[in-house]
Amino acid sequence: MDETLRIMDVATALRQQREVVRSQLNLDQIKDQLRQQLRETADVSGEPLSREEIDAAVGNYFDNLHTFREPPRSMRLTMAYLYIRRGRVAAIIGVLLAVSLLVWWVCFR
Amino acid sequence: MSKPFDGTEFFQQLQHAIERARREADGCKNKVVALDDRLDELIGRKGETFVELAKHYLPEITKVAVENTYGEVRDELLDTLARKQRHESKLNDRIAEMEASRAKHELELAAVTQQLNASAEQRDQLEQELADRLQTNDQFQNQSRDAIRAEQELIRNKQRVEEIRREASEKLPAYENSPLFQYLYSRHFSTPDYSAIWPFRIFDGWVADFIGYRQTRQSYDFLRSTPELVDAAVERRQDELHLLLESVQKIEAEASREIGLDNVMLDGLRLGKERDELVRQLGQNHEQFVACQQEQIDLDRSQGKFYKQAIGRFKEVLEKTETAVLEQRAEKSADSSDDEIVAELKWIDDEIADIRIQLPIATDQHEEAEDRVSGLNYVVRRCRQSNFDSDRSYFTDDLNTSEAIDEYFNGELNQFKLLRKIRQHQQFHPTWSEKAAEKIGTTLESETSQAVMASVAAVAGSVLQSWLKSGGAVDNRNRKGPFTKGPGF
Repeated sequence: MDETLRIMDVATALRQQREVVRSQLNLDQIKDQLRQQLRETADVSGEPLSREEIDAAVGNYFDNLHTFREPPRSMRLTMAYLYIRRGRVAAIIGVLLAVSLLVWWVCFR
Repeated sequence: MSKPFDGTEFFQQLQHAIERARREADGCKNKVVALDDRLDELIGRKGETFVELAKHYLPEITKVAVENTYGEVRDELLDTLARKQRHESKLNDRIAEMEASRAKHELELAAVTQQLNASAEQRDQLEQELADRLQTNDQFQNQSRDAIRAEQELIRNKQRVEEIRREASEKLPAYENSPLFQYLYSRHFSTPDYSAIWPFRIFDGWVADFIGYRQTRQSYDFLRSTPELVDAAVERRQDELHLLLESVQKIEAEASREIGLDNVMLDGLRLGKERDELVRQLGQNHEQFVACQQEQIDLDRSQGKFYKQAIGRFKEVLEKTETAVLEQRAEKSADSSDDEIVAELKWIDDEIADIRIQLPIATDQHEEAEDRVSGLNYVVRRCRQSNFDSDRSYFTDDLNTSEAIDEYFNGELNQFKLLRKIRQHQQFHPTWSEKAAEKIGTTLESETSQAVMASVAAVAGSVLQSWLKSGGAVDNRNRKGPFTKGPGF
């Protein structure tokens, strides 16, 4: 049963790859379909969209597709950075504590 | 009787004498150079005149012309003539051979061209027949259309591959430069390989939600894998297109073989090669023919190599012949041109002989003038060494410097005698110590004694001065002597 499922997974992966390839090589058709859908939606909703506006919207969509940007600067971002660098942060804190302890031991005891 | 004069004036006179000697030496040198140049010019002109005479007696290299030359050189000239004739004969034979070869090649070319035209006509007919056949072949038509369509599609696909690659290269750096994304990616977050423990699973999930990792990860994988996938798919399509084209070509080749077009094409190619080779041979043949013709023209002209050899040899013989003999032979001939050439030769000989007499004399004069300059420089050097140019130096009134220098230029005096004469009349004004010695009435005869006395006086004077300045103490460092080796300073 496991073997069958694994074979099915491979077959699915191959089919998905084929679809990706087909969609990428027929991107113009996909863009045309998207334009058509936008046109129909605009017609139904009564929004007066021109052909140029639809083209610009489609172009913008594909330009930003698969684009990545980190979140803007914030406390949450700082905390996230501190977390992923927790090893180094812990090491620095450890060294500072050791030095403080040493100073206390030498000077105040 | 002239007045006594000082060393500065004397040296000015010597400098003027050196300048005079230098001018004379330069004049002599110019004369020698001019005579040398003239001699070279006359020798060159003599050679040209001999060539002119040789050309007069031998205007062309023919048997009749050679018979009119001198007996001493006639055999050699006849030999040169024979060599020229042999060469001409060989050249004529070669030209005849080339003409025959050209005619043969022209005939062959005409035949091959005719065959090639027939073959080309047959090819055109069969190609038309092939086109008609393929027009009615449904399989060929369908496959051809498919191939054209696939080729156009393939071109578009290749452009798309480039676009995908460019897009990936622009967008991937944002993922690779993000520490948060790279942290989660390196820990295999949201994959079966993820193995973090509590509480890091919670914090990792928090970071993943913060940057939208799950969606982002899909985009990252898409950008990394898609170019390769699409490229592989395009390559497969290209292979398919090749197969399709091969199938189309196979149908065409089969039809071509059936109607005999293949054989006609092979035959045409063979004839084409044959024709190209014949055209190349004809071109080569033509170049050789033109070269031979040019050589033939050169041989007939006066600048031909055999004529040049003959004139060169004849000129050598004429150069060795006495001018008197040349004159006698010129007188015997009816033409007066050779008399004029021989007369010019005689005039050149006379001129050369005259210059060869003048040249050694001018060279000797130049050497003497240079010696005079060196001698005067020697006198000046020695006088300076003896401080004759100091202010204390003067010459007695019985030295006539101009007369002495004239005697030197006339050769009555050499530099040593002139120097001795100058020394005899040169004197120095006494120093203050010598004057002091005179005052105390010391009478000393010899120069050595005078020098010793002068030193004693100088020491005494300086001792006195030092004693006065220092209040009676004597300082030996104030002792003074002459500035130079000579007595003048």
